[in-house]
Amino acid sequence: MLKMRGVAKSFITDTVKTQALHPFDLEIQQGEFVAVVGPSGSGKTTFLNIAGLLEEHTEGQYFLDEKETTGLSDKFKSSLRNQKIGFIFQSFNLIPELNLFDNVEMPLRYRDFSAKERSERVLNALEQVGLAGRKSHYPQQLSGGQQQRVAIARALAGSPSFLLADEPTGNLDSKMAEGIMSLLKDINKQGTSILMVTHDMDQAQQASRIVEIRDGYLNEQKVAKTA
Amino acid sequence: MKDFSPIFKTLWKNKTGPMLLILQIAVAFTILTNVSFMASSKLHDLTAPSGLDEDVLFSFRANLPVESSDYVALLDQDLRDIKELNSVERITVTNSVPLAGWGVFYLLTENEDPESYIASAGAYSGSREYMDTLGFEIIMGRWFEESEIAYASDSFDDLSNSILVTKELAKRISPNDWSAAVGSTVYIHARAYQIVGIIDRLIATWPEWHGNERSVVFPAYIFTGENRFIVRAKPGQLEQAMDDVKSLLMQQPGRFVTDLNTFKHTRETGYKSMESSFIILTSVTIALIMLTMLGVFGQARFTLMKRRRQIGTRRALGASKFQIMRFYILENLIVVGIGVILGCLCAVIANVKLIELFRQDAVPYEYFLYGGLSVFVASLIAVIPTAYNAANTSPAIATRSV
Amino acid sequence: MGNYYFKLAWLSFKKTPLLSLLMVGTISVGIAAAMITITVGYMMGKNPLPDKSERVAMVHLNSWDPSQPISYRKNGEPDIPNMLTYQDAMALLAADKADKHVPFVSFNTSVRAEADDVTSAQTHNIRSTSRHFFSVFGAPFIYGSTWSAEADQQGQSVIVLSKRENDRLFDGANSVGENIILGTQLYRVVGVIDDWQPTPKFYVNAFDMYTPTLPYFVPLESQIRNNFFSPTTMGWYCWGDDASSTLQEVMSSECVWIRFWVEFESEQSKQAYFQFMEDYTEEQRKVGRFLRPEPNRLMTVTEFLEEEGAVSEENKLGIVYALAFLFACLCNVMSLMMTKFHGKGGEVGLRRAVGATKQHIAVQFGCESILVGFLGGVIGLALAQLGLAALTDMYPEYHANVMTMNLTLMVSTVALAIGTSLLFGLWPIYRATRTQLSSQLKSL
Repeated sequence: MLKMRGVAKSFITDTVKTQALHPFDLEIQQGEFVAVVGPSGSGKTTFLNIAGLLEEHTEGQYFLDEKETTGLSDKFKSSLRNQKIGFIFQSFNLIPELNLFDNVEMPLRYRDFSAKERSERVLNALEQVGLAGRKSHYPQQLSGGQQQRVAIARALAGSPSFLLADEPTGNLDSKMAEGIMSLLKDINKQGTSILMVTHDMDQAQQASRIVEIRDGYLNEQKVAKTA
Repeated sequence: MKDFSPIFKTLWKNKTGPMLLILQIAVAFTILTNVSFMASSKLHDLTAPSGLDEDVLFSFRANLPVESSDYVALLDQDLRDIKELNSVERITVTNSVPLAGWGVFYLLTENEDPESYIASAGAYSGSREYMDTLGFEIIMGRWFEESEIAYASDSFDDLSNSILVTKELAKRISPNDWSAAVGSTVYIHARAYQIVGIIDRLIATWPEWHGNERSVVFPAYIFTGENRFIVRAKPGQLEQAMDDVKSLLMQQPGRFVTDLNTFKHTRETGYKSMESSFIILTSVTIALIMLTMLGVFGQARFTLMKRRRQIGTRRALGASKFQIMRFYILENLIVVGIGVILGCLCAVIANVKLIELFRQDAVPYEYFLYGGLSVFVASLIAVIPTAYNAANTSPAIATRSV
Repeated sequence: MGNYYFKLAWLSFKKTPLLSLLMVGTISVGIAAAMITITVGYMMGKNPLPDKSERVAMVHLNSWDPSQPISYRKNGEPDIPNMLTYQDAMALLAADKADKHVPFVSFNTSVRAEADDVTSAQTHNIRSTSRHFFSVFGAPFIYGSTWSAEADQQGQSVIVLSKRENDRLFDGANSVGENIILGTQLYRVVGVIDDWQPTPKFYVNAFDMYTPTLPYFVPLESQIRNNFFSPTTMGWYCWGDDASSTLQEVMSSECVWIRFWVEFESEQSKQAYFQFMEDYTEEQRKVGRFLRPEPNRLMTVTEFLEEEGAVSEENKLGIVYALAFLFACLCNVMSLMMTKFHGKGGEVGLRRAVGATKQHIAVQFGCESILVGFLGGVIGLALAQLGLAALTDMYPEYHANVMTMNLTLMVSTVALAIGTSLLFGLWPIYRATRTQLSSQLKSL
């Protein structure tokens, strides 16, 4: 589903070349839950940006559902992001002046859905995160955990191939964080792959695989599978 | 000043905002100088004294409802009757009323050749009491002799060749020493006239005419089927005198009396459009200054928004509030200064073009100076609240994550 | 989809009310200033006779003093009179070479209805002309019609009055057949014209073009028969030694005081008419008149308006200044938009991350600019109306028509606001679409 071959990223600034990510291979299958761990400044964000097609890698090849993404036009990458990837951010990033329905609907607006289908999808997604009854509320009326649920609904509404979560529980207290983790696991069980960046080793342990990034090098960690 | 180089660097890094502001100031400044100059020349014209005792004068137009052979007799009768009214002090018959907008002008020449042009001047005819009625002053020479004042139907050609001129006209006739104009000879329609006196001020009939300080007075009882009269009322009896005159004249069958107006009214009506233009030009000037302030304010807010964190860091590293404010104000002054300099250039170019295209007067240089100063002051007023706000940025913001 | 973007634009507008109002306010002030001056210029420069402006022409004959020209034109060349002497006007009328002739002058006298008291008389300017005045210049009748050809020839005392005067004297009733007293003469009403104000009032001099039309019309010949003469209010120019203190003297003098317009069925006859004017001039030269070198003119409505400068230089200058002012306002708005869109960097990043293309972002912000422009345009239109109303008050010598927007101008006002705001939004929009993408989106 997601396949990276020799992908690397370097910056050239003031004639100094900085290797943000050294070449690595990575393959994620349908239905996997992969955690990405590592200290800050190690290249996690760069990795996530590349995986999310937000940033161009400088070497190697990146296939998404068998499709080569290297060198695609901005327009094409936008539509790939829209259809294949669901983003979940640490700070939720809901638009405060839009209500929950409109927030969740936002990505669907960039696709050729009929109004009816958009509405069905939004309600389904809100249902899935348990907030269907509050579609007319505004983000600031919700707790942090609820807001992140809305963000997850927004990511799910377009039925993506995988979710890209960047420290999804970073701004939440541990109780809310637990709730979000179990929601993500549920979603994963229903077949959506998840790629999650986290600091929290406990959370990482709940994933099916752990990838560690340190000083720009990416290593696979063996995980003791919990039964 | 060690601040200058970092300011220039910051400005250069985010060019668009400052450049828009510079452009805006340049354009606004260009209009500002031209418009404020136009406004102040209108103000100058509006406040120019007419030379008349405006408070006690009124004028009207009336016909002589008799056969033309009896015109002179009736005119004399009318003048006598009106003067005898209790509310009236003096009366004169004339060809046109100052600032009323209808009259004739003549070209004065040095000799019979029309090429020897001196100046154009508004022409008035005045009967015996003209000077005492209007109340202007003769500062050199004399008023007309009784024998010089004749009855005339429409042209002044068959009159005595004595005339009076205003001081402004005398300056044209005798540029080195205006007082020397007395006794000199000028030509109008190739006929010679001798200047017997110089009037301090007597404004011509067209309010908006640039040369309206130049008038010439002929000695005449002007008469046609219709005449214009100017009446001097006794102090405080202006209204009364107007009523008295009208009812007196209307006793004659076939008579009409019209355009019966106080001189104040004539002046207001005459200057109405100029006054309106003045109001418009002044509001445009104010709008331009406010627009500039708005632009400076917006720009300062924008940079503050972008730089909050940077300012916090500076504060955390020990910059004083004063230093932050100074940085802001200097930055603003540099941008405004460039705008004003560019504006001066544009204004000069625009001015040259305007003189060519629209025959405008050149804007004197002090307008650039005062215009520039007011833009600077306005921009300072606009930037200080934001600079103050910036200076009060908490240093703690630097350590907060974004 | 458009709907969605306008909803977003409106939400965004409400989110930063101060900034939004500054933008709208700035645009509206600029637009109002521009449209006020443009309206006045446009209305002043409008073609008042669009369907026949090339077939209606004014006759200028060079009958002036051989020793010096009557005046100089703006370019310094000697000018010729734009009025005729009485004898020339009568000669052209007698020759009858055009389809319709409209000579006219004006005089000033007291007016009252026959039934009214003497003291109710008001002094008015009376237009003295031919029966064709109304049809050539397009004045519509509500009662009766113009006078007959005989009335022109015999100088019958008949009169046409304006609706306003008819309302005043006859309470708006059909007054045809009623009598009016001009001075001491009895005139019979033959027609009443509707409110009529050609803008510009092209048939007179520039300084008179925006004043109200005169309220009474009588045959020129009747003015002469009844000896109405207003030397102190009519426009006239004299040269030479001829006496000119009575109407009879003016009629036989070289004074010019009659304006003379002609109408042709076709533009070809215009050529022929000019030839006729030349022939007439040649003939007059034989008797020692028309000795100046400058050629005669047969000026169509458009040519005359151009020559007279219907739109004054001060006006054109005003438009230039107002457009520059608008430009300065728009620079301001552009920089406010930069601020606005910069502040929305987070939202742009988010939308881009979830799949919006640069075009989507451009359309979204484009709609925002359009909304700002639209609101600015509507408020600007309202401000412009206020401004024009104030101008009407401030310049009573101009007819209100000059300071009135027609539908085209109103639509253009809003269109101009939207267009310019979109144009000056292009750069801020372009910058907004270039927002860096990142998964570590700042909070909104």
